Amino acid sequence: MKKKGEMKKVIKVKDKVNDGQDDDPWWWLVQEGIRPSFLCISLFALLVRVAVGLHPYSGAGTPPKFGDYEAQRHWMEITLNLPPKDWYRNSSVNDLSYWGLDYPPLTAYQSYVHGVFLKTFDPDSVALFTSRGYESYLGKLLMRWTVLSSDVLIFFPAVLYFVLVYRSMRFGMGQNSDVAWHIAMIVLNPCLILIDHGHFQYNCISLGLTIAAIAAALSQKDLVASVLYCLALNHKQMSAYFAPAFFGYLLGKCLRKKNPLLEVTKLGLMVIGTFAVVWWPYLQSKDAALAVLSRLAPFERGIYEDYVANFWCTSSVLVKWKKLYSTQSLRIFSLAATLITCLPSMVQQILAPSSKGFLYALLNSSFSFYLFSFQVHEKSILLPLLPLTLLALEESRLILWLTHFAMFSMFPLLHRDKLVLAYMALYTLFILVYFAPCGPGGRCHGTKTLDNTQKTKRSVDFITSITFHPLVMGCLGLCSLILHVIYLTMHPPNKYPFLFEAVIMLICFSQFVLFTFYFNSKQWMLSKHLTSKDKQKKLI
Amino acid sequence: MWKQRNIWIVQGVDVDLKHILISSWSWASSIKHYLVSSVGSSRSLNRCSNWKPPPSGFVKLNTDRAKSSSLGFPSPAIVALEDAKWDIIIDETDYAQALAAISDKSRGKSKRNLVIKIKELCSRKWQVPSEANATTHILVGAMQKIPYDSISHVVSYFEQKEIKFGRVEVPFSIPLKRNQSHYRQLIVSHDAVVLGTALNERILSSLLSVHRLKVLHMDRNEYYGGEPTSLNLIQCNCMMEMQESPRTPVVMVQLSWFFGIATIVKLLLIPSYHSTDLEVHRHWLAITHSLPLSQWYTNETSEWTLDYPPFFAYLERFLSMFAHLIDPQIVHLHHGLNYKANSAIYFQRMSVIVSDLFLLYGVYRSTLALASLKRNLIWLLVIWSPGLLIVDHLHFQYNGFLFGWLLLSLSFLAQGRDVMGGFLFAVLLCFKHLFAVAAPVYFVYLLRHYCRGGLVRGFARLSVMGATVVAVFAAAYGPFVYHGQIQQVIRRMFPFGRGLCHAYWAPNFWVFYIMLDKGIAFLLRKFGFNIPAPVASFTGGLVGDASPFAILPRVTPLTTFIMVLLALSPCLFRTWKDPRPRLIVRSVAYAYTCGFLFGWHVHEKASLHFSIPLAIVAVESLEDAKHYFLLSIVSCYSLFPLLYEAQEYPIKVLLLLLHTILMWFSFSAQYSGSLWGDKKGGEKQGFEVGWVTKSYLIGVVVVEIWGQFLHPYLFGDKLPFVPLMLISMYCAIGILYSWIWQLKSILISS
Repeated sequence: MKKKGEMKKVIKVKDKVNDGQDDDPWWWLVQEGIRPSFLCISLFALLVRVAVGLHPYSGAGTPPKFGDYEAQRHWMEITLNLPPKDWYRNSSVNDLSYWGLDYPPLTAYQSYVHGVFLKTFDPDSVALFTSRGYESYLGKLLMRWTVLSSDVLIFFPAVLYFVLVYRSMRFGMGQNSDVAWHIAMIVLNPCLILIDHGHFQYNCISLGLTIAAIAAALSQKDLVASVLYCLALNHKQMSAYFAPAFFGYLLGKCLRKKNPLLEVTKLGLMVIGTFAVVWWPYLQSKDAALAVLSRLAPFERGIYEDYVANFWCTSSVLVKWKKLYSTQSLRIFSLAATLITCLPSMVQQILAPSSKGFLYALLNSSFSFYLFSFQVHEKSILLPLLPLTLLALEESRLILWLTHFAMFSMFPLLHRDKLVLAYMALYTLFILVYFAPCGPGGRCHGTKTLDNTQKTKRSVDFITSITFHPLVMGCLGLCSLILHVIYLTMHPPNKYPFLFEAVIMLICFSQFVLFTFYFNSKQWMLSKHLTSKDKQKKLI
Repeated sequence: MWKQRNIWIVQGVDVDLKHILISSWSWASSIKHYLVSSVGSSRSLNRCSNWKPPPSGFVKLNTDRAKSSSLGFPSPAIVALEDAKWDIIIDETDYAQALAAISDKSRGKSKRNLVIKIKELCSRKWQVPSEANATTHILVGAMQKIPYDSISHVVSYFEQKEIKFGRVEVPFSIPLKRNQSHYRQLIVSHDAVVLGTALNERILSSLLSVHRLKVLHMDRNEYYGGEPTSLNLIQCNCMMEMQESPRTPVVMVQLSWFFGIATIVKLLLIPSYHSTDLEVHRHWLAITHSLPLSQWYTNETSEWTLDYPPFFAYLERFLSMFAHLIDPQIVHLHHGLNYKANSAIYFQRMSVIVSDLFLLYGVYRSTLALASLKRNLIWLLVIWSPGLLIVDHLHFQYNGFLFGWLLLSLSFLAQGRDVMGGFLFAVLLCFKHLFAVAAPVYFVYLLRHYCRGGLVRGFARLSVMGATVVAVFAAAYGPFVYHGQIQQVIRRMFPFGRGLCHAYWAPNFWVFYIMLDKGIAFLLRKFGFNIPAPVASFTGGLVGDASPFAILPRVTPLTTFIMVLLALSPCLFRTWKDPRPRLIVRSVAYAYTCGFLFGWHVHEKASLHFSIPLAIVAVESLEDAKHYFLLSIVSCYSLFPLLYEAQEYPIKVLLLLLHTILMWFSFSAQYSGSLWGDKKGGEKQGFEVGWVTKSYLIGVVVVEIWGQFLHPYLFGDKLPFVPLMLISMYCAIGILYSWIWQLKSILISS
């Protein structure tokens, strides 16, 4: 480990003949290896999270429904005071129409643990009935700290695990400072911080579990990966966005092993076992399990809400989906569309599973879910964003743009939560970290590109050069900047009260579609490149 | 070997470094005919005619003679092939040892550093002055032939031979810059001055001195030997630091990056807790905006009367113009009282954040001439200083702005531009009079360093400096003198009616004094003496003539004043005897330490006054770093009670933790390994703290855990003052240690 660090440093200096290590203000930190830089970066990230926690949460002081903060608090109240069987059941003490529990059981357990924590310090905040809409200084603080602790306990270790695995996977490619930059890109992702610590949710748990699962899968621990992924899925059903990629990659790998059937069975048993453990209280009767399931899939809420930059919402400007079709048929439509769009990347992984391809597949499947699935939130953009941050070193240019548009697409939501200051600060922080002196971000916008797979690069170059031309992107960036200002300062015309939201949605949607095409093509190019390499090897 | 190398570089496969070096060696031996001559040339002068410049595409760097016993291993000679950029070939007689040193596993860091440093050495444009060798040859050959009559003969001989050499100057003909005039005396007492210490100048000066001339031999470098010098790696490192020209744009961009990150944190902290100082400053905005100047220092609408010097009032006036545009209620004298709207808070917080730009410039200016690592370190210590963040951006004050002025002033002084430094300090005093503690040091320093060079000249300079300072003060206080309010202004600025200590006792000497008093009173009461409990409190005003002390003599402002002066006197004496620009930062910091320890009604925030300037010198040596490590932790920790609410608790802890860890890593990087620290007497090198410091710092954690968790748990609401008292007692020990350390370092630095 240490040795590798030394080699890395040597290579690093090699790369920097012209500017020398003097220009890197961080070399004293990164030269020590990954762990010190991880420690410092995560402490800083924690500081940023605490500071964001000072800002308001969603629905602060807005009765009667409040917001996600009240939902989470209410779940703590329910899980703490009722037996598990009643958590998902409508009863005289559990009014499901008021923020009823609609996340899988792991979330409920987590709410229970946090509820116990809250009860010890502020019993009023989780008292049954009386605590509805409970807001206090201490209550807010304790709630914020539960999110922080989840970050520290799950998200950060998972990121460290991933970075270590990823680095060994790249055979020590890249410099230590790049690795530090990569860590910063993952843990300082502004969208995640704003949603978790500003808006108030526990995405860090499910995303952290997903990252750990990805890392385990990349380090060939498939069984661990499947367990971790099932846990993520059981914390938030939204993690299903990644399911096709996991399925494809793990299946593809199994098929390449000596005894495919045995491997698949092992994985299947693992998955079923994990589910059985998590769902244990609801497996006693069929009704109980079905009741939970029906809570998890709230189809009655319609195919879209608000202004999400996905296909259904954007196209509803032209086609009034909700009026034309019943929910039933829309369900089938969206399912079909999602499956069709994520099929290519899944098939690619089954045919040629590769570590890099797996990360791209995660990106593609989550994008297709975001764009085409039923009932998508603005916050769901976190899921496609996650694999891209993991790929930050490969796609160092695109991460800037996707983060930009992801932030932009969430702007109306965060504006509603009165998080504009935190939004601006974190956005600037992201830009600063991205362009950190001697980080890859600053470099790739210069002359050199970081990618070493030149062949792949060249073949995709054509698409890249058009869609991600600096001029085009610059224009779009400027537009979105102006839109920010307009959104903050001007009132929309009375006739179209949601005009600005719609414009933001259109811009973001167009970009997301482009991203989807680009990443899909990239994934397939990857496999072509690999196979051609294999052929060359065979020839030799 | 090339294959190995390519695998290593292009694919990053983990190839054994040793293997590469060995194969490099075998390759190098095959081209040894290139290298033999270079080795030979350094061996003996007789063979120097064999010397050849390296073949094109090679850079030859030969540090063979730099082997020193103290260094512990020989410095390798390196040949770098330019087109392949970075193939190190180690080729030297001591090669085996060098290789052993490089691949020695036990010295992980030094080894890595060595490789880095070698590469760095190769990356520079080294000129091999071949003429130096030729000159030597001729000089040695000509040794016996020269008639050593006079300087001119020697000079003419050199001219005949068309040899370029440094310069031989006849005294008085050397043009000196004005501020170098103190060299003149030195120069006058010699017959000849030889500038430069390259080989020919060395021989020249020895020839001259053989001829009974008194020769002053000088070099502009800190090392001996000019261009063809032999340096060991440590000296090379020093030289590179000196040569390193500050690339201004890059430096500024990087510094702004650091500053930007800090600004983000400050922005995010806007909704956090703020002290009454926010209302104080808001009220000052209102006073300066809505009242004429003549009423600024007399107005008593609120209890927060204006008690800063006039420049600060002008600053508030300036800010109030913008505040008025944003929300007129902020600057309304009566309606604005306790105005807590977002507009007021955001505006004031933003004004602090923007005014920190002065700090940015101050830090930029004071680190301009430093090597990159030291520069980065100072940025970390100052720009990301947790203490400043806590006081300015959580508690709310304008210290960053003021420290910007202080650092600017110190950087001018360190450069020798005394008038500018004095001017800036005078301006600073007119912003915040608490900075006046360092005024004696400034006075003595400027008097001795600037106003020297004879009676007339000294007097002229004194009047220049005096006029500058008077002009600044006139600009500040003039209007109030005009209104006849100067006494009122001064009464406001120095409220001696307040007690010896601030509400929370600042960790200084008086904490011990008070505790001693309490302890003795307690003991005597135990023994049956009737000791009346004191009426007055330490923190409140002087209640009549009652003393707040039960037994010990009472402390008056005059006592504290004399104590501060007494504590300052060694430093003043030192400065009087030897006013050196290099030491001015230390002296000023020491003055603030004295003021903090012994002053009247000291705020805990004042510990920043010395911990910020000391950051500038913390990178100078290992000892400084060790001291600063302790001091900055203590000074930041002593600020903890400022933020007593639960919401900010994780913030302050994280800030201190991050600061400590960053400091730890950066100092260890700077002093890592035994290679790059200055190694004397085989001491253990590298940044590590001793067991005393370690246990003291663990004690900080214990005190914090006690105060936060155990005390409320064990005692409940009883004795609420104990945790605070413990913090200030405990921190006072640290600050006292720092004071002694600084005193020692000032006395020793002769």
